[in-house]
Amino acid sequence: MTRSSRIVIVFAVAATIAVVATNWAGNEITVAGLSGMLIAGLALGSIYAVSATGMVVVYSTTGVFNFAQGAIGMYWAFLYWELRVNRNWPAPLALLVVVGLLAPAFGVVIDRLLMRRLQNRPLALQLMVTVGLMLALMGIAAAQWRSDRGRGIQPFFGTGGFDIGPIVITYHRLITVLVAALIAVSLRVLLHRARIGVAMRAVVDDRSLAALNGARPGTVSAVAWALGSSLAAVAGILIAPESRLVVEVLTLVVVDAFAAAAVGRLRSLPFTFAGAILLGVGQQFISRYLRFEDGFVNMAQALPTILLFVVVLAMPQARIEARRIGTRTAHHPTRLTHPFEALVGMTALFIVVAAWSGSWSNVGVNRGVTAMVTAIIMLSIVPLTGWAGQVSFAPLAFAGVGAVTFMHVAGDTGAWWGLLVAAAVTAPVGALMALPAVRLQSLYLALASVAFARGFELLFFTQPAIIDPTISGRQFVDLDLFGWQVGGNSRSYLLVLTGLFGALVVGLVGLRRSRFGRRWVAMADSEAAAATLGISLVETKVAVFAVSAAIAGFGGALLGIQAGTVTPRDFGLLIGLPIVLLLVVGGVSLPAAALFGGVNTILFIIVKDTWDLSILQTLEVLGPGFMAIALVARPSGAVAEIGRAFAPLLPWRADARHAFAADRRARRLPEIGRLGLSEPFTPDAVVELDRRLGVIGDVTPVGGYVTPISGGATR
Amino acid sequence: MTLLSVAEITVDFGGLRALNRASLAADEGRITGLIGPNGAGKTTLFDVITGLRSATTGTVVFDGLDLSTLGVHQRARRGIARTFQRLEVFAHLTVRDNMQVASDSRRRWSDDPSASPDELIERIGLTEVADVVAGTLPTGTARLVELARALATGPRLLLLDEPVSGLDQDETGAMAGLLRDLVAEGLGVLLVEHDMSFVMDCSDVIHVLDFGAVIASGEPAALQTDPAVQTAYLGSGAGR
Repeated sequence: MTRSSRIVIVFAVAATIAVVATNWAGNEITVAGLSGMLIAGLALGSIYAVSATGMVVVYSTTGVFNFAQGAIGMYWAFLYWELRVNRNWPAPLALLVVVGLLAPAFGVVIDRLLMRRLQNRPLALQLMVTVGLMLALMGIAAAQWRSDRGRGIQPFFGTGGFDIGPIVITYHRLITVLVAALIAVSLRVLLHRARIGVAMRAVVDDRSLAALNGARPGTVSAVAWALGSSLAAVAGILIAPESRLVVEVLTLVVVDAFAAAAVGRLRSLPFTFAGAILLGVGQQFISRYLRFEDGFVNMAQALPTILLFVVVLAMPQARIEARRIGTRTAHHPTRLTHPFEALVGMTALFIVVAAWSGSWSNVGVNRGVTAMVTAIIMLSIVPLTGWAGQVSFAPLAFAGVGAVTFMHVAGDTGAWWGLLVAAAVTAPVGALMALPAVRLQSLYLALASVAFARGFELLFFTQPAIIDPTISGRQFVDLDLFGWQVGGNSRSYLLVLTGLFGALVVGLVGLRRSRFGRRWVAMADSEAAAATLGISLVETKVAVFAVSAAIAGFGGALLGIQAGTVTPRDFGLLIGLPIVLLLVVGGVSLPAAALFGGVNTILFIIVKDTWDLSILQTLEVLGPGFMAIALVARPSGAVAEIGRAFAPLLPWRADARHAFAADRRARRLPEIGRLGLSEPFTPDAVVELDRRLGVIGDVTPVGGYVTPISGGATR
Repeated sequence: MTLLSVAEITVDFGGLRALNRASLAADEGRITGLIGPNGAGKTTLFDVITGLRSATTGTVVFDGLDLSTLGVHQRARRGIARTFQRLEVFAHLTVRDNMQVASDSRRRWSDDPSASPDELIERIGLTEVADVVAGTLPTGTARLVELARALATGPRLLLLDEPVSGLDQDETGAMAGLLRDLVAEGLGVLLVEHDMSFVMDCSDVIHVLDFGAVIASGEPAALQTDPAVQTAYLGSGAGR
């Protein structure tokens, strides 16, 4: 353990003692009370451990970090409810079907269809697809099991239990702890004794080497996902009776699992278990012995996000990773948009909106405003994720910081400069959030952003000093632009937003071509090379986080003006995820994709309002979810694909016509690895091979071509 | 003058000792060759010198300054630049922008206007591909981009990790000429390369690394007949 790690831990312990001392509820400490806390905490921790273990097994064998772990468990818990409670199947049968059959089958299917294609791909793509899966499952579950009726799963063997002296142990909790222990032992045996387990551990070290030695990476990854899905199911079914059978609640178990897995550095199962138990017991301790007032009532729920932050702080600096093989993305933009082109495009957009919106109803204008505000918040993700390659799931939390800042400085006057103050205040918040995690791998930064968004949702926006719950009426008056009053739902506001969006897009296009943009892209392409050129990665990452947060804060203030009032729930983690996904679906490196994302956001609402179908009722999560999953096939995003298809039609884009033709030629050619095996060495293939290998000069294949080996004789 | 001295560097990867008390020096205005079989620890040593990997024990002193406490970018700012065996070009940037990133970065610590991106592009012979996105270049050309990019930081010591692998014979010859010109201007070069004739031809002095330890050092001609080197390269059965 390094010295700084020790300092962080000492501080964390001291802070814990201080918090405990100041918030002590004064309950009497008894053996019964303490043991009750320990048993409940142990049971809860065991569930987190099972969920986190599934995540760790998948991550360490496939390299894909599964944000959908909680959602998968949630779905299986609901299905278990359907079979066990709604259709009254016997518990063992329902368990066998869900945990033993459907969950592993689902794991194998998503491995085959999605996850295998994500191995060795850029982190942003991996995370977006698993978050997409998470939202899709949430959408399906919420449509399938409407929240209009309460549901509950009975604990195993009811509420019964037995006593040991003053200690009461319910059967459910006993079973929970035993199941977790059994899983821990079996995993240990599986990974160290069974052939497939040894292969799984070998794959972690070196996939291709393990393959050469006879481990089949395909089988290994299928087994890992099947196992991950089953473990998620076990966790979901065990936790449902302890909490509530609610989509969001069960999905967010993933945050607890993150924290536990982070304690194990996403690799170590014993430390993951320890982290999970610490969390479970800690949460029980808080709810039984501490009393938090006002804005801090969610302290027990927020514990995992706090733990995650402490772990990230205490973790020793990561080695700068050289690029992993194959992480090059398929899409290389051959040409950058010129600011002048952006200016022309944005002027055209403004004219279209101005001309068309005259005929819109109030509802239509309001939706247009929503689209534009969302698009502006989405722009914050472009430099951060699209260029610098850093993943943040917290743009809406930053927007919230901007909104409350505006509310406090200009909410009652609507003064335009409040927007700038909002941006200026949010920027350092973004930098502060990034600071502890930038030393670590980008995955930790993404996790820290989740913790940050959830932490702000539970502990910051709930503060009476931040958003006063007692206030009624509007917190934001109309925007005052040099004396011109613009109402948050007026057509004028839509035009103002369109102008601001355009200005931001032009500015970002310019920024991409500046030395900052170049440096960010360089860092995303190779951190090792960037650092050896004298670029400070910490400074660069913090800077891009600050820029991104400033844009989000600016957008958040505009969101506040539209809404008129804000509540702590408006900036929640889960509400913010579709914003991130839809931007990435559009094409994360393109400012224009934000428009696509903003328009999509309201298209989902329009579709949902137009057709009254139950599956469409959750379209605002289902849509982004499925679209993000589709990124597996088209990672560069919709706007990039559309651009590539239409750019050749523009008279001045000879380069695009050239690239298009080259692309078509390349597509007709087989994969190089197959040449001579299942594909013939045609003259075209040889020329293409030369081009890719950089053989320069006139190389012509001699004497026709060789037929495939399977075809028998040559010629 | 000695620019870089590496003393007693040991690096352990789990149970494997990648470097075992390796010591060597590199001088200003000279090319120092570093050879050894695959897995001998050459790239690991580069990683230690540039700070990408920390050593278990040992010191790296550059221009009289102990680098142990400095981060990767701080070492680069003192004048150490490198290329990578497994290419690390900025794949989404054009060749010119690859260079521009390095030159922008350099402006943070140096006012010296020499080695502008355009001059370097011309000098290294990348004019034709200057506006091509680096990720689409063939390996040989990409290696030249990495070299030019390293030079754009105006280094005093250049670490080259297999600069001629992927280059054809003419290009290799051009590279040798370029390196000679660079050292004549005072640059120190530490060169890892498998192309023996290239190393023997270019280097002023050579260190041989085997199983993480420096087993021989000397001028190229002397090393070619060194029995320890022959054993390392050809196995103990050689010469029987």
